[in-house]
Amino acid sequence: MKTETRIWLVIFVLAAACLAWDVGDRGASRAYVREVDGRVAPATVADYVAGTAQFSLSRTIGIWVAALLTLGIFSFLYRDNPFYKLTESILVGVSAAYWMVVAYWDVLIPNLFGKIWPGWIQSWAMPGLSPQRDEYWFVYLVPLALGIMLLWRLSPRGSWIGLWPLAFSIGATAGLRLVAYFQADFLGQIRSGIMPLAFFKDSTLDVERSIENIVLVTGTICCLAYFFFSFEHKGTIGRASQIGVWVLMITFGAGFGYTVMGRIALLAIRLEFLFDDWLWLIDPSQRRLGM
Amino acid sequence: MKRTVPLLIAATAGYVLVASRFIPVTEKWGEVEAIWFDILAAIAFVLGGGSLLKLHLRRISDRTAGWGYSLVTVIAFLSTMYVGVAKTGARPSAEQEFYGQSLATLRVDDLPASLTFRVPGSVPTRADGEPLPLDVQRQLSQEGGDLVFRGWMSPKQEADLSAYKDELAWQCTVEKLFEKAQPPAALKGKVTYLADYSKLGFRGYMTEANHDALKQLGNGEPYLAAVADLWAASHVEERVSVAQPPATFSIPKAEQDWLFYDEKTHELAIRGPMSVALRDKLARDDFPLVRPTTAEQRAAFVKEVEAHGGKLSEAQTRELENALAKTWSVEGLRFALDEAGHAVPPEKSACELYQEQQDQSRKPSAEATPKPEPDVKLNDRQRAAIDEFVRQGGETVDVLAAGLHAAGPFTSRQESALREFFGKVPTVGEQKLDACIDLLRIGPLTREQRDFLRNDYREQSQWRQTVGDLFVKAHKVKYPWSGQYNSPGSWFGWAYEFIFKPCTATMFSLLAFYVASAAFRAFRAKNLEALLLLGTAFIILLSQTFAGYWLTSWLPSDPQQNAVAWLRMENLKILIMRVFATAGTRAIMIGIALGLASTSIKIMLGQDRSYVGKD
Amino acid sequence: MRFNLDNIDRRWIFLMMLITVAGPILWQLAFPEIPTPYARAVFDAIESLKPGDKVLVAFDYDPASEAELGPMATDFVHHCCEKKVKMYFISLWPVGPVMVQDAIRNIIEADYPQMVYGQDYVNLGYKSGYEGVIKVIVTDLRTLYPTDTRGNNIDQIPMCRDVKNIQSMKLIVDISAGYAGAKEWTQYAAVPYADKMKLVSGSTGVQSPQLFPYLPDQMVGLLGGIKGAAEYEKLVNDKYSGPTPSPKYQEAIRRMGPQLFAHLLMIGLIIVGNVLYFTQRRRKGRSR
Repeated sequence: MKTETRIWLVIFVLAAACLAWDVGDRGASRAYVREVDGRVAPATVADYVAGTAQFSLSRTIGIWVAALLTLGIFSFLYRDNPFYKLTESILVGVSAAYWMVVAYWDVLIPNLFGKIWPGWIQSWAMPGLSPQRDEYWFVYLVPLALGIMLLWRLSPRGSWIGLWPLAFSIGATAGLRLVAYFQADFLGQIRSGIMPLAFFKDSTLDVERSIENIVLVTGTICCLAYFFFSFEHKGTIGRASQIGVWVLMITFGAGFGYTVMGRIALLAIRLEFLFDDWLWLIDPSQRRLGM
Repeated sequence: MKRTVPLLIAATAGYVLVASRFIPVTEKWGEVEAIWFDILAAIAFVLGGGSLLKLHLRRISDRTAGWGYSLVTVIAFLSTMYVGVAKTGARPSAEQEFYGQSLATLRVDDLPASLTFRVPGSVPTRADGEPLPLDVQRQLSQEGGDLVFRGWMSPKQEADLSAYKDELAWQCTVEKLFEKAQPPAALKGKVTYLADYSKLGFRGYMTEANHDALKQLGNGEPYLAAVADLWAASHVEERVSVAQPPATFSIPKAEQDWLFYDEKTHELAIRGPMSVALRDKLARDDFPLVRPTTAEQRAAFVKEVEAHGGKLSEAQTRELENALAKTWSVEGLRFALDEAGHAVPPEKSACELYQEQQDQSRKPSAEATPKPEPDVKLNDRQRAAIDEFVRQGGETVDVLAAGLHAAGPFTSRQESALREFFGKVPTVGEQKLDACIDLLRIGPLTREQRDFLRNDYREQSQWRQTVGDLFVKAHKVKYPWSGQYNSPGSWFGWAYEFIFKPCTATMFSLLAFYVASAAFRAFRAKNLEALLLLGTAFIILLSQTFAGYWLTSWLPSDPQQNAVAWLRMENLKILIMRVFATAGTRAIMIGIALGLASTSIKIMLGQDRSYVGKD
Repeated sequence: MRFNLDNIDRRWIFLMMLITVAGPILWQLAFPEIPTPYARAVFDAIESLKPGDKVLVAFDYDPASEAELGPMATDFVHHCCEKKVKMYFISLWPVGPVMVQDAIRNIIEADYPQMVYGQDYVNLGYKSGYEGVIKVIVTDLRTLYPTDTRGNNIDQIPMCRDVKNIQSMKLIVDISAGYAGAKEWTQYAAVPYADKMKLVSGSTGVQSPQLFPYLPDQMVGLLGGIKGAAEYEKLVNDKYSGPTPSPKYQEAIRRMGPQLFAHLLMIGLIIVGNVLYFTQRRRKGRSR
């Protein structure tokens, strides 16, 4: 047996022993719910303290599944392995189905079928919907037709039919974004970027604010100069674009700093799940008070 | 043709949306197009799922390397899709189940003639051409010179119809129609007609008198069949076993026909469905509510807790006494009841206002009212009744209300205010449990102390569970598919919470490791630009944490007072983000906007044809 | 296995990162937070609302961003409940309504049971279409939302009866993880209807730098990542939660604990990496 395999075997055996003690002795990894009127909700601290929380087998199995899948994904950090590949396959399948189901119940049923056949949808799926058709219900036949054409892309023949709805989406996106970006990101930013280079507060020159404004305006112009690739970057334009590069580097450095914070937060929450919900090593929200 | 039509579609779609931003008459077109876009986006998700299935099924059939994983993907996809579309395990929507009512199918056309109500009048026309409100369209029509309404009108329908046209004559007509289109007195508050659901509804248990009154309203076959269904449904008996009902539990004589406790079998039984109000009343009314306490009573309670296990710490004692002191006051109750006793002048009806308008001599005025009733304030006997309620500790709110009625004038508004006041007051069990939680947060409690503090709540919770079980058993599910597909308890919700959510979050969390590795291997301060980037990154990284604050906390804090304060980490961060990062990001945004505009215009002009593909 | 700092296996760095983040979580280390003007601007925007004002709260994120945005969402809802404003929950992300449901259960139903669904808060749910949704609801809410997520007809919901479109909202609170999110709310709602609606946003650390140019003209305030959430949390807790806030209202401050050590590790790794690089370069220069 290779040394690496031996080390991993020892680690797994130790981990299994600790887990067995944690689960068997301390009752870790168990999920509890509160069931009222046939509806289930996760148990709250009041339920734990009162002793009215009920053990939930399905949620307990769920916690174990989530923990094992989490570890499966983390195992990729060591190296690619079948456990990771299995987890990835499950995730891909579940994600794709998730989006489909959400689109079906949240959009297609109420906003498409519910507009064309409101009485039928109301009778079984959405009793709160009005069974009366809107005055202009027939406009919804267009997205229905376009949708069928879009799904034709799955067919081995005639997938070109899917081009029409695709073209509609592309054209609509172009139209939606053109004006919005111009208004908010172009004109809006230019408007915000025009600021007084000599800022007066109560008739006195506010030096600090004035310097800030000068740097901001100059920085913006210099960065824009850098993005002007139609002109050769030499002379004044060259110097301006050099300053622009420096400002951009500061921008990217700031972006990096924020990105790191975001990534660490993601890792922290996963570890918190493993330590809190699975292993019961910590209880930061004091949910299991009195257990 | 194959290429031209898509180009035309793309261009038209773009132009319409752009035009809708500038030309008011085309605003609605833009809205409609945006709705089509939203629906197509949803269908794209379906397409995504279909494509995934197609790809992986091909891999499985071709037995390509790793086809086993494709099989896992397909199984995961199909099972998640099934449980999601079928809403497996999802409870029906609580808001759509009409708890406490039995429903029987009865179409508008099958309503008996006695449920058709007429008043002279006509539907007014609106300048904007807006049709009648949706919730009355099935029932309201015009025949000759009369407005005809089929079925009973609900207050919401009346409000919607009145709001249809802001004209006193119309509102008066609607008012008259509403007054006419009501169930007979014997059935008032018991029957409803839900035209949108094509259902006749009956609340709770149907007595013989109710049944006869209903049968008298019509003799058509569909109507009588519906009444028969309601009769049968309201007589279905359900039972749940009860180990021990609460000590003060009792059922009023008037209700014992349909709600009773069988002492032989120890079962609580109900005939017909249970309403939410009855459920809540049963679950709570027999448990004592918290009363205001004196300092001596609070100290005695603390001693009682300590007697069950040991001395509480000073902080725990303080917390317990504070928790017990936080309760309602007699003064507050008296004030609420006196406020509710203020006479409210009745609002004039639309017909009264219309009559005034017709009468030329006076302008209609909603403020001119008949002389109101005098204010009703609590008298001494009623105040004494409240004090007795506080002293007794075991009396229910019903007993208090009866006592207040007996002791002097007590209006219905005051009784509503009384019930609303006590609706927010916790029970003794709930208060003791909250105290237990607060004490545990501060320090330990022995098992006996915990049991002492939580046993009352456990009894209350057990009883609530029993009542809830009976509530569910007595309810006939009307719309099993109306629930949320991802509600807790549903299989799809399980897949979301224990597969989708953890895996997605974990996948993204891997980035934390890679960013660390990249920082070590790739971030080199080779030149001034790299140094600027790294330096800024250091400042931001430090300033995001307490370490940065601590490192420069010795510097002055206010940059307005002292420029050196800018060197404090948190001020540096603000300076970098507000000035330099804003400048850089602004330039990038302007560049992107220009690029996007150029691409969009190319698409709309048909110059960019990449999405159409090659000939 | 030869241990060579120059060619260190990246898995050792992964292990260092794991220990650095796991340690503070296990020992539940937390540090004080000092609010910045950006968090204060967000706090003041909500604080200036009056009871009964309509607020649109958009949960535009998914479980991948729950680490940073979950505590932010909790604090926004907590603050809005304390201010007794009417909350209209909406989402441009498919998973958003589930987050909303969790917030309703854990905060509103748990701590504010006197608030009534349909009168004080409503969950309108998700619709696909990204910015297309915003484009529709700024002029007509009902066309896209005939019911809420519980299936209630929108006309039957008391707080929706007089709402024709979202221009009647006093404030839009957007919790945003990416596209569609704060940028789209700015472009399609806050800017075109600047006289009617104000926008505050909480976003992930990755997205935040891109939103700073919108401050303060197009966006009133911004919470950047978990740090922004922690600062805002401190402000809300100081005002409303007393000396011992409930643990669920201290999530952001708690999650900042690992940040300190992980950030120091990052700085350390960058410094060590550069020292090694320059040392190697000098060695190569000498050997020539």
